[in-house]
Amino acid sequence: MLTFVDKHSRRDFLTVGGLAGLSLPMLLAGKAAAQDTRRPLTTGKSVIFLMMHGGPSQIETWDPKPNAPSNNRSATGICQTSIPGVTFGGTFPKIAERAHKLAVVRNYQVENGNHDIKPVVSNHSLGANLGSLYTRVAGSMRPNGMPTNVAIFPNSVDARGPAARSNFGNFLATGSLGASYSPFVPGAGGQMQQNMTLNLAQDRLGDRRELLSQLDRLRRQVDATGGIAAVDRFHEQAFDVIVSGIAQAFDLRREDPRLVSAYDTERHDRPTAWAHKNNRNNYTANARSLGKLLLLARRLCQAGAGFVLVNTEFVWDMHQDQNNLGVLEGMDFVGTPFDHAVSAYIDDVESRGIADDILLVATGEMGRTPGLQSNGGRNHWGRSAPLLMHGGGITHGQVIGQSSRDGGEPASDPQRIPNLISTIMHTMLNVGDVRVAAGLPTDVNRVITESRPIPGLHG
Amino acid sequence: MIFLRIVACFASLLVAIADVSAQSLSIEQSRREKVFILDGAGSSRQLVVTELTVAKKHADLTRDAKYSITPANIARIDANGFVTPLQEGQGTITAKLADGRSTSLPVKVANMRADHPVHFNEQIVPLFSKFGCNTGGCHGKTGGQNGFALSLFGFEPQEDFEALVKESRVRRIVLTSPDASLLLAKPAGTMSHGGGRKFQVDSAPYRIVRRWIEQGLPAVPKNVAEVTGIEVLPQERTLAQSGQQQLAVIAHRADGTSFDATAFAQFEVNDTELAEVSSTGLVKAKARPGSFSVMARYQTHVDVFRALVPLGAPIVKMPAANNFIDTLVFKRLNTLGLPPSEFADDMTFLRRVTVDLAGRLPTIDETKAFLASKDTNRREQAVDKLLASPDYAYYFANKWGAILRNRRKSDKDDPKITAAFHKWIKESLEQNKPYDQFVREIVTVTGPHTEKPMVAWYREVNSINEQVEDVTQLFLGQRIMCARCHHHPLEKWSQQDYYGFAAFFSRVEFKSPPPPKKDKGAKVALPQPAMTVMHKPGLAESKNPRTGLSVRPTGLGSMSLSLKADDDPRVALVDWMADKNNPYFAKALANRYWKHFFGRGLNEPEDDMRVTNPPSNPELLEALAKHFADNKYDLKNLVRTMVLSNAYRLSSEPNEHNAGDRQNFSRFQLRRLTAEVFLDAIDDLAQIRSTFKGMPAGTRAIQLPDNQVDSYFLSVFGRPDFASACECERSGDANLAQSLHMVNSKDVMNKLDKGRATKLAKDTRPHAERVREIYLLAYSREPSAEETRAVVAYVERVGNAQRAYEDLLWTIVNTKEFMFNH
Repeated sequence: MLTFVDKHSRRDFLTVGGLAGLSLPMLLAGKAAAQDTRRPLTTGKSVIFLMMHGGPSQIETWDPKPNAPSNNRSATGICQTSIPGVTFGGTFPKIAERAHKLAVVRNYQVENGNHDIKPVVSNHSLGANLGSLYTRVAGSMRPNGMPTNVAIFPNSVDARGPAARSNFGNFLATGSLGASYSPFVPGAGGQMQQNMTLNLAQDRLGDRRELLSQLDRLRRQVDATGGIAAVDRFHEQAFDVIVSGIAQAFDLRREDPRLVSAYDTERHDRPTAWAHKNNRNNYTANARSLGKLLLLARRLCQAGAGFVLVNTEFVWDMHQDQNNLGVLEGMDFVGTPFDHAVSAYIDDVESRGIADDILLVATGEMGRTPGLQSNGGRNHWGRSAPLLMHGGGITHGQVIGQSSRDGGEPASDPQRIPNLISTIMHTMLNVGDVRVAAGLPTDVNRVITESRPIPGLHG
Repeated sequence: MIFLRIVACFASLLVAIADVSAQSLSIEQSRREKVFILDGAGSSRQLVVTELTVAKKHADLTRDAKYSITPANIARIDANGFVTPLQEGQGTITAKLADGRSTSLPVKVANMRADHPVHFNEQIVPLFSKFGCNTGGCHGKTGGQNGFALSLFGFEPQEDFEALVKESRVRRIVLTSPDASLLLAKPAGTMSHGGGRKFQVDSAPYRIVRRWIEQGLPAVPKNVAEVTGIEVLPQERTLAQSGQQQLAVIAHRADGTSFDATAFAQFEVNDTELAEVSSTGLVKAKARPGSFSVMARYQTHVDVFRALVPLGAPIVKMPAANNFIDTLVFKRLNTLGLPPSEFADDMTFLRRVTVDLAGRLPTIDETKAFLASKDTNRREQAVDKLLASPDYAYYFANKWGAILRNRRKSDKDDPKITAAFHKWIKESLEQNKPYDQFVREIVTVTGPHTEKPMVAWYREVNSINEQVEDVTQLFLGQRIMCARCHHHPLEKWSQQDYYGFAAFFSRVEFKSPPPPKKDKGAKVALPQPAMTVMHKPGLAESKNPRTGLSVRPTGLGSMSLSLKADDDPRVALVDWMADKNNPYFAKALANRYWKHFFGRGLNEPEDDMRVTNPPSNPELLEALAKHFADNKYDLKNLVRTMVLSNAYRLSSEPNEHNAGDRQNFSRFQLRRLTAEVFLDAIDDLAQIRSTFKGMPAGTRAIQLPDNQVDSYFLSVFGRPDFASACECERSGDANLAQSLHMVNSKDVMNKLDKGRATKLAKDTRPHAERVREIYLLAYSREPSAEETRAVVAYVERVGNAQRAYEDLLWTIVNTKEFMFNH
């Protein structure tokens, strides 16, 4: 059974909030207070999880170690950031300019250097996509029809692009929660998306609705379990969704073409540059889709999505071998579209005044070895991994934690996947209320409430 | 009628004691306890004062009595009958009512001078459970809460002891100033505590913990025997609506001694819509009839109090009993004073039983023949015809296939294996193979999958743990998975039980020949290597990881077996299960099928028949199980008995009393058609059959062999994934995606727009007749005059007949009368 915690769509908020200066959380809290003295379980904030699949180097990204020996420090050089004294890797000049809007975590590590999808799906998340945990608390759909948990892949914005890859783990896994908490995957003509768009003349739908109300004679009283009432409620809602056109949220053609162009990273598609690598299709798909995916993610959050997974494709595995680019070229070809897309996203949400309502998390399944190999690649490394965050109301303009001299592990107080999960959950949920909420499976409750968020981000 | 007067009389008794003669009064005592004793300063007793009326009805007068004790200095009794010791001595407790009646009990207070040390396992750890400190959400989780870790549910008291007296330089305890100890200051709220205030300063639990600290944190005394079980007093009662009942919990030790553990026990109601219970064991029924149970837990032990709350409404007419099911259902309704609904009309019955037995709507011919039949046996005839039809076998094969996990991991997986197992299930049901034999052939299967399709079950259920957990859940209604790692607080099964059961599967061997060489050119799925399940001769045993000792094959709650090396232990397992006296096997199936036909299990959920989740009608469950076992596990016979009971005929329309009833079967429980049945019903109405990839044209959804046939409709309407032995995988819940699909999908609309709508539009009969045909098809009934008028008016108003009939079919499939079995 779906549960709805909030009655306002994000779009409502944007209209109302923009005028009255109320934040969505305030609005939700106010709305909920009218009916119920308890706080809602959801905060009204969203999370975009940008999965940097393949295992990005922590050194060439946000922890470049400029003073380390040459086979250790960032192979791509450094960029000065907008925070005095803080530098990023050389391929991220635009993100560096926006560093005062970001938080990077330098004492973050994962448990192993294996290719998988552990920040999104692991035993820390009960084998379920993080968004499914959220959905288990918040219900799988907003009243306007927007799914609360969405996963988008290149084919969501580009018909040529691939769908979800599953060879390193199922991004759509729901673990023990059950298939109904599975992320909604738009694009490529999904059935549900089609069902959201009116497939019939509107007056005819009206006729049918009227006839239905005349002939539907099985009364609610017949049913003690509420199944009849639920069908009635969802049918009403379905009519609303079809007529209101939530499907438009998935359609980038509804966006200002200049903005689409500002996000678009297709200009960084350089097929000849990586034609010699077996992963060439990944690099192309990534360059073609990344910017639009972030734009789509923002649109979905605005329409009420809670957790949106964006996958960059498997492009960060910079071994310098027959499959993969090395660090120097790789950062150029993969880091550049990333720099472009993320900075376009930051500018967009900052200028709309919605940065505090959406937390962007960018990380991969691991980091890379501190030592650069002689062939110019870096190997798998779990003891340190890059983690960048933006928005969501976190304290920005800061570097959290320190790594060891070679950037190979946290210097102290290591933060791990459970802390990251906790940070995400604290953004989307009122965790204290979840802890005492009735009706949640204990293991879901445990995963959401057990760990501490990464320190220094929340107030 | 006599009964009614008694109920009325009983209700008034609770309010005021009317007729006092010949009514006996007593204080509840355990039969196993010889002396009513308070042993040591930490002991306490909960008195329960019961009145037995002339009509053999019990009433709890614990809070009405005035208590006294002679000599007065040996103990103190509060208004709720809670006794705490003061001084050593012997005396008498007296409970006296306002009308002058009284009852007394000799009491002994011992060991007050030479006080016992506080017993950590008996008096401290249970408090951690009682106040929820050691649950998975708090200090019981791995790593504890804020550094303080307790064992989950207190199952490892020794670890808890060490956490307190050794860890962190004993920072949680201040021996010189006990009240300043974190262990007291946190739960008593004198220091901030994330878990909140748990008890007051100087309350009974506070004093016990304080005494334990004062005594210098004594370890568990070696000379006290372990507690072996608990007993709730009383065990069973009839309560008035909003009535109350005090409970007491007596713990019995291995050496025959006992003590009152009420103050240390946890209480939990299984149905919070019906009652609540306080931490002191006071049960308060709500103003709603039904039955509920209260579980008491102490250490690893549980016991259950069962209560019945009658409605007491006048029953003008109880339907006649057609078989023993009716006798027992109606008996219960009589006891509850809960009048059943009227019978549904025979047309509703036909649609209902056809859906439940054959997984489809009645055909128009069946409906017309049934309408025309004047035979008084027409319901029996319809049922027999359905049971003999392949649709019955297909529908139940669909049910069994899911929980027998007849599953492919991907659509590249060879479909022959699941198809063969599906065929075997379907044929077994069609031939009405005795259920014990059906189970035997699956569990003891030996051979290659090419000859024995049942190997498919072992292919999916391929570890000993899964075999143990699936067999117990599927065939015995027991969920034992918790006991794999720890004793679960709500279960009676321990790790010893789990691994005793596991030993039955310890000699199962799988053999797969090497996979065929890869042929890169081949585009088609390679056939799976033949898989063989064998019995590997040898000693059947498994190891209990907690004790490290090996365990012989042992049926749940039974004696362990000594098997010869050549005996396949799985045969011994099925022998044990299929024995007529097995307490679980027949009941589990009876309950599963009951739920299928009556919408809710007697135990609910149907495969969770633990002691702490008692059935709503135990007599009926017993009788069904006995009937099933006596009839040699004849499934069709059981099904026939259920659907031809008069209880199954009751209308889903409530009367003024039974709208809220879900557990007593006073009316038919509505349910949405399952995903497969619903899709077939739409297809039948539209006269366009869905196509399923890889299946022959004309395949119905209920005939699909496994989970890997892709269908958005079936997924969205809750078809199970065939991934577990739990029927709960199938969901009948409504959601928005379903509504969107029904209201606005091209998938459904395209079907409704072609096929029958076109045919009807071209039909030359008057609209009224065409409308009648649709009603007979969709609802198995005649349309009312008003309905005919409304529809004909609509068709005429639209003008375009094609368009009008498209609209009409769309409307029909979206009515709840169509979507639900009612």
